[in-house]
Amino acid sequence: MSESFGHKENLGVISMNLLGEINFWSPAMVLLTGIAPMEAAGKTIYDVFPAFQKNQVLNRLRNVIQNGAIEFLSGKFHKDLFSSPFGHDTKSMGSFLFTLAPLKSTHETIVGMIGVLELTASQTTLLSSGLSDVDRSPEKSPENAVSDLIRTLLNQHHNPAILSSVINVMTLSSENLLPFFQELMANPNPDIRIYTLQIIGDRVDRESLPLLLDALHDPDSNVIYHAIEALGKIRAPEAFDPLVSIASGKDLFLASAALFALSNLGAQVAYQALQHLWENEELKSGMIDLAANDAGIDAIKQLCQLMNEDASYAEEVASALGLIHSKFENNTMRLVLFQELLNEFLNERGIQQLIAMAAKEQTKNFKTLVRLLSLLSNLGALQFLVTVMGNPEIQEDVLQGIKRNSDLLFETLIRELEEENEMRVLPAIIALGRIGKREAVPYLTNMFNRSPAIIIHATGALAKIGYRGCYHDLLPLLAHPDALVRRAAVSALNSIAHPDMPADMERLVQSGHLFERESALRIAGYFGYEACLPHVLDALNDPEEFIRLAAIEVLPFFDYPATGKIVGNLYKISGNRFRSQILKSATFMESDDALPLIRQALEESDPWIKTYALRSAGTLNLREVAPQIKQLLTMEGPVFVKITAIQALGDMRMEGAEEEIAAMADGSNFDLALTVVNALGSMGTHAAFNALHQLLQKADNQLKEQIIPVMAGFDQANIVDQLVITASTTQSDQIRQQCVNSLSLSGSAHAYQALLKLLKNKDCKKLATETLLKISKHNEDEIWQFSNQRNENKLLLADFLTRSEWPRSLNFIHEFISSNDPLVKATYESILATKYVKVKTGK
Amino acid sequence: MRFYRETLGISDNAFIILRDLIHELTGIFFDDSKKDSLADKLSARVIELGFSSFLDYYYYLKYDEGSTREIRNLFNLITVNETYFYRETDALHTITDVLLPSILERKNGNPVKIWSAACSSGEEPLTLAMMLAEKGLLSDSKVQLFATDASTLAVGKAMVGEFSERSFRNCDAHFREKYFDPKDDKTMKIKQSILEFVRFSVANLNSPAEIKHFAAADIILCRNVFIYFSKKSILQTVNTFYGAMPEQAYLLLGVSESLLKFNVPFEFREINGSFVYVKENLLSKWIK
Repeated sequence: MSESFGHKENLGVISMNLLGEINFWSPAMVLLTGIAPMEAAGKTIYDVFPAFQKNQVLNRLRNVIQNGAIEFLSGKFHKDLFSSPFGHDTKSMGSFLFTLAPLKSTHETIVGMIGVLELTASQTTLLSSGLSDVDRSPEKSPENAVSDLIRTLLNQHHNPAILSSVINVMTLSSENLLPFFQELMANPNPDIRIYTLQIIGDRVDRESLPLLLDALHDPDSNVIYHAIEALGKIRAPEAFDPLVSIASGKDLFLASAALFALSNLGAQVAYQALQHLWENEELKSGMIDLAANDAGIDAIKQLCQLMNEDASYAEEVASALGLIHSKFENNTMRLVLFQELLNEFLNERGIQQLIAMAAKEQTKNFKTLVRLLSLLSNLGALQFLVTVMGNPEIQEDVLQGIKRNSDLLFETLIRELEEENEMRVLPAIIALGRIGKREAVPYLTNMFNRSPAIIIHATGALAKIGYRGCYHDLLPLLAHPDALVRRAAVSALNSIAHPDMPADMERLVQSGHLFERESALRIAGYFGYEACLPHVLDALNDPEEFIRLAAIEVLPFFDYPATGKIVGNLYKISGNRFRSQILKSATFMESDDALPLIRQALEESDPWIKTYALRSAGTLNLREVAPQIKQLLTMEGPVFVKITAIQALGDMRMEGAEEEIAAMADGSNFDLALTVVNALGSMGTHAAFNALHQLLQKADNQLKEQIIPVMAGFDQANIVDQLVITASTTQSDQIRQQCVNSLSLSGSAHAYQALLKLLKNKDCKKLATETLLKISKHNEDEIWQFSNQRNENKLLLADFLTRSEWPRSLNFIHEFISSNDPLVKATYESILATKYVKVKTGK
Repeated sequence: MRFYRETLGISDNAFIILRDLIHELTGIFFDDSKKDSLADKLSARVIELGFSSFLDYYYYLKYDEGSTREIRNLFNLITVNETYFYRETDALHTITDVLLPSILERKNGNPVKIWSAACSSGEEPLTLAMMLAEKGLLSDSKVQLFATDASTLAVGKAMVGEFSERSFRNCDAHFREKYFDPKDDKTMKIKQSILEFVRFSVANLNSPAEIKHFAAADIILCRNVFIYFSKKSILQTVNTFYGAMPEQAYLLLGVSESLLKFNVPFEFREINGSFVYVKENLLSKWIK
């Protein structure tokens, strides 16, 4: 690439709309930044360059849009443009000038912005640098390649695109780079030392630890900052004392970084050592982070006190408490302790802070706040929870909180019932149902004169309370004009099962009130009250269709030998809706009674009649009609008939039909294909497995995701291998996830071994580790076998063993510390120190 | 609150695919925080049709011959028809005071078409008709006002022209007396001349075929409907508008709605204090 071309390309141009979203990204921008137009489109510049301090840049963008100003963002002169001390890429933005100007329409209206990026260092592109030679020359030795990289780093570190590529390549390199790092750290240019530290940190290069510790004494504070950051990434226990010392020091910039590094390094020990920093206003945010990671009793107490005393930290403290809560979510003992601590240490002011934050509209942390409030035994908190209970996202948490504090809240809920606003009454009714106190019954039955929605909720709550004392209040609802209310009343009465019901229903099935009769028929059938049978038979000939429908729905529940004959006769003379109901009821008939009806129904033209006939045939396992069902697969008709036909054949486990079923998944309809997969799964035959295997080869990703868990349910020797191959070769994260999940659910030793094997695959490693962490029962033999195969395998287990709470993980760590391989030994010594050893702090 | 489903014993398997199908058919998306309220809204219909699960309702909507008819019922169940006379009048004043006079002049005697694209029970187009009457533009045929909604119930109500007290919460006594007659204690009926001026019909904004004809309007009012739509549905609808609108035509949205985050071909302008999306003269666009 010529020098002149490189020179021309040193100006990158972008344009943005009024919201600051990028809608043009020039080719030169690609060369300068390494970012493709597709990656930038629709994003803001602070999204694309995360090192930018969002608010600072946002203010500049606003100035351009609102005031038509021209803004210059200079990497050299505007340090405030970069993110907080916790930012990562501050220096890598290097020397640049970003000019932003308004873009105007012919009417002089500002319609967007234009941005010009100019790199002030000498220009060259990634392709023209030595790096491209490294990539293209296989014959080059690793030393030469690394030398090229180092040379590029030294010469081209002002060019962000090249710099980021060099850093990436060096970070991923498996070579021992210590000698090069030593050389680079001796470079007089602090930027070079900073990039080197960044690479060491990203590589988690423990070999270079002495370099990092030395860098803590560097004359340049930016270098020290990056050394601290790298030490945090490496999680080196050796750095504990120096970091504690820096955190306690006067340089707040470095102290904040040290606090953050320490929270990675072993928050519990660090927190104990640094408690005195709570007194330092500038470091409180860092201490809140550290306390959240520590999650010990002292930390929780301190956070609660801060919430009680200082509103300016309320949001940060709430997030920290939320983080602790989520850590304890699956540990009942710890969760109970956390709850007790919150109730003990949060005072009324602290609780009001939480409520005030949650009450703000569209609060970002609404869910976290509600979950914290639901742990409190405080009337104010509970009253607030009742008002937000209508939100389904947090309903379950709120209900749990309300249930725990039912005594405290009962009166409040009862008062809510008097509200005019339905949206306040309904949550209160649901809560009273969940609490389950009998004392609520009279208040709930009082709701029966209100809207149908309220009555339905009240009957549901009464059913949950299950107190027979409300029986006589519920009975009149059987005659309610609203069909849903009647249905809810029938459900509630069925769940209460009062001893007076048989006699009452015998009376009510003869009622002159049609709705009452319809409801009573349903209850009589649900319990099969014999005395009601004659009235049910009478009702089959009632002039009102809804009465006949109720009667035919319940007839199969009675022990009546003539059911088949009666139903058969009725079928002949009825319309489609009644026939459909007969076929739904056929599911509960004797097979001999149902068979002739179903045979006939499968020949009907109405698709819903066919559908219900197919469902009953599948449930009753009527293999006699299988040939008719197979015919439906190829006949013209609505898709749902074919779907139900496939389901029926699957329910019957019709061996020999696998190929015909599989042929229906021809890719033309996803519903159909999904049904095929499930049907083959429920058949469970060898032929079904083979059919699924073939489908997997030709299916699209959406269907593959469905096939994998179904195949995993088969007891086939090669399924584990199939899942491993698919997980290792697929491009789809979802499919990989499905394969790994299926292996973890299998529970077999073979599947466990396969999960360990997947640690070797770079695409699967993270997923396999996360999955291993979720497994409650581990297979020690398989882990020993895997780790004994190669030393590399021991290192692959490091992340899992570091994070696992499995008590036996300690055995493996001790064993691996005695390894002859120095890297394995050092890695596990570090893990042991971080995880279990309390480092002496001298405090 | 998923209470209907629990209490009435409706099986909720496949509810998610039903929710997604409704999005596909109507453009209206119920996110996870609203899906339970959707389930409650549909439960009664599921029972009324004789189904015992949402899966059967999904099959019915997606594959049954009667599905076209059912989509109308669905709109009646899931749309929010909460509106009133003289709601967000700034945009209506922009139409009557600024946009309409300039279009009338430009069209030189040819009628100007205005379309109220999600008119609900008619309060918006009828308000506009009253405002046009005040300007003396109702008597001749210079202006044509079309109004559509996907809900047959809402359009049916609009065509009757009878409104309860709730619809008058923002209506001046002057207009109320001038353009309405009391029907009974609780209901007012709009004057026939106003009602007849608005041409009501049913149309689904998510169906380009149904709205293309209406979208060939000089002014489109599509207010407080995109807040219920997914991004995909908004883009499809707006592109249909753009394709059918003549040059130098205007689109007005609700005050809380914006197309700025989408890459749409409209020119965005502030006119008379209202935000207006303009389909510019294509030639002038090229020159620019």
